[in-house]
Amino acid sequence: MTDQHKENDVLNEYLDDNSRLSKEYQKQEQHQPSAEMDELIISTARNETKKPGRNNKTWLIPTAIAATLVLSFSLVQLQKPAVFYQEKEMDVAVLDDKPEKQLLEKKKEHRVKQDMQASSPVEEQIAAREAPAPATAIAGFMMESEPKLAKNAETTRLARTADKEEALLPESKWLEKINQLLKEKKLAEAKQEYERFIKAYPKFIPDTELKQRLNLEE
Amino acid sequence: MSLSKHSVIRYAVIPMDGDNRTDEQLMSIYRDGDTQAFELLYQRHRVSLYNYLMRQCSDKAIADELFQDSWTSLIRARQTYTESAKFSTYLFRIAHNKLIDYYRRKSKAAIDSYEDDIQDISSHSPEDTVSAQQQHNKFIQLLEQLPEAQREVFLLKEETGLGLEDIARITQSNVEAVKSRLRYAIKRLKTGMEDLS
Repeated sequence: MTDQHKENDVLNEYLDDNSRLSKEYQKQEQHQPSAEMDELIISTARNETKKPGRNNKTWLIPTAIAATLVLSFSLVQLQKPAVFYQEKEMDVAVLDDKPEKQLLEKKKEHRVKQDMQASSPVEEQIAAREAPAPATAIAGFMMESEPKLAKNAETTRLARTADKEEALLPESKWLEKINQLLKEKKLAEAKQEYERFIKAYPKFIPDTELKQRLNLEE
Repeated sequence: MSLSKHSVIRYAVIPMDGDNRTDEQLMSIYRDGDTQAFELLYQRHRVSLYNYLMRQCSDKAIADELFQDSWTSLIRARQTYTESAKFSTYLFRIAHNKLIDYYRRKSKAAIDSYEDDIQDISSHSPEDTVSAQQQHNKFIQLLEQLPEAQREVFLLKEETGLGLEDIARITQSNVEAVKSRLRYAIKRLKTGMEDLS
């Protein structure tokens, strides 16, 4: 048996707790820390747990609440602009959460006002409609709940579609449309269309032939 | 007194305090602010830790200082303790680091001695005395004469009953190095005792 093997056997014997050396070691008198030392260490342990500071976790709850609030607000902010830009042509009136009827009345008043001024071209009207909403309106918009917002958006879309068909139709096309109605002998409809046309284009001076065909009085 | 009874007291494998909670559980409870858990832990390990330090530095004042430092460090670092770490490994590693700091303060020579595993023991020839008391005294003398690193692994094995892997963790070395140190320590002690006989 080599020396290495002998040494390993001695080590294994020792590790198996069968060693004379272990027995000899266990015979030794045990040293003990003093009672003062015991008291000192235990009082240190007690005092350390009472200390506020690094180990104090009282900051956890307020921090968690603050983090939740910040996260929620950020998520709302991220979602709202998407809806906002989708509906960027929305009228300021919608932002005030008015019912559909009130909204249409407001639009009507707006149009009458424009008629009285009798000078604003169609492009200006569109531009006015497309102008960014005032800050207060945006803030109000932000505060609205999702379902309310969706309802308002739908209302506005319908109103805007009807309104745009009138306002955006070019002068010549509109006249063509009236002529077509006259050709089809739909006089009443042609007259209604002409009334709407003349509201949109107050500066338009109809020729005599058209007046005659529409049975308009001078 | 039988060996097994000694082992139970020294190794604290089975808690003698009537509390079935493990050291790791007690440490976690103390970490959450229960000082009674600490008192139990302290009672379980005070003797083994003190003996380890006392026999490593052979000076009561130094052993007291290192003992207090070790426990204070453990108390202050309790928040970093995780239950996955074996408590005795954690505690003795702190004590080991305190000892290394002590050797550094003491002198460079002590460090060299710590790092030197293989030394000639022929100069430490035992005296020709064969009585049991003399034999025991000789054993203590031989133990004291071991290089620090060898004595440390032997003491850790005896005082804590930990395995070689845990001792390697405490001494921040690898298992092979621990095995080698322990083998040399046993060889020296054994040779010394045989010479005495």
